[in-house]
Amino acid sequence: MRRLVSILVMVFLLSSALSGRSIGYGLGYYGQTVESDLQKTSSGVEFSLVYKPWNFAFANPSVIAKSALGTDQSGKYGVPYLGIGLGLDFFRTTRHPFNFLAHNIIAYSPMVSVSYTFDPRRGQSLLGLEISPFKLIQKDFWYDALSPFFTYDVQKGELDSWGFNLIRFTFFFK
Amino acid sequence: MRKKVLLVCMMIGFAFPLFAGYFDVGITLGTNAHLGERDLDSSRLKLAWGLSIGLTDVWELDIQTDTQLVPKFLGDHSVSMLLQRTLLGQRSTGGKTAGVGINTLLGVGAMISAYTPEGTTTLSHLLVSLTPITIGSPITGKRERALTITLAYNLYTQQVVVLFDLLKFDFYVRGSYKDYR
Repeated sequence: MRRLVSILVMVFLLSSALSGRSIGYGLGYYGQTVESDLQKTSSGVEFSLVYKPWNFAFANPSVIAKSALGTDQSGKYGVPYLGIGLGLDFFRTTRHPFNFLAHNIIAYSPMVSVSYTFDPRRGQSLLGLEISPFKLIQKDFWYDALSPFFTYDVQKGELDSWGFNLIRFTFFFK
Repeated sequence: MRKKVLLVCMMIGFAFPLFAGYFDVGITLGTNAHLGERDLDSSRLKLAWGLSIGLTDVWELDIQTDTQLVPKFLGDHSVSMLLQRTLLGQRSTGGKTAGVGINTLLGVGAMISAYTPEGTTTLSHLLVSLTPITIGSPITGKRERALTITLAYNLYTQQVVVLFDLLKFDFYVRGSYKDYR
């Protein structure tokens, strides 16, 4: 089993050379409503790390780790969530109606991501889902706007929180 | 009151040479945060959207709606109107030449909102706004406005609060280089 895992990791790392720049960091502006405790509703800055080993035109996967720092309704600073998960770009195309948004031709690549999310304020584990319907990408950048996200309490079987990443820039440096 | 408003609008209209070749219209999208009036506005995340209308080569009228997204989706709205002047040169050359790409905006205006003790939608704040950096211009078709700080005087509570727009984008649908070919 360990050998299999080692081989898979090696294959993963070696194949990552196929992609130009595969490691990036992101900064975003988020707001989150916590349904079970509205006092914990917050907004602030989201930080993320992205690893995308490939550049497939369809179903391109990425690993995304993220955290945020924000203030809640009482003005208190806190970390509303930590998360790690898998992102999937549905497709990548330069034929789309959003080229007017950028100075150069830019690719459109909507994404969905699923993550394990932890709320350190409440010590709660959650299932996270984020949709990026307006994600534009260049070789070194992802730009996404108005991306809704949800966290789901699997144990209770109910929606725990929802929010938006109003704008997020991700820069691939390596 | 309505007659006065109409008169002021007409004066503004006549004062600026709308058809002198500088007229442009941009669609604005960006962020907004209302700081210092948590008791009147519980919003945590707001979308800024509206129009940026070029009146002359240095003056523009910005009409901006700020819509609450969090904690309540489309919870409330406020509308700001700002008459702004560029401080570092022409905002538009009125021709094919790109002109100044980096600028600063200073403006005055007013906000209509429900951020009053009674919660009724009315003319609620007087505004003084500074955008330290704008990149792009109507001629190039796009402009980014960053770190806009607006001091807002609440006419009902007599308090000064801050509106902060981290980033806004103007996408020009009229008055870009395409219109001066």
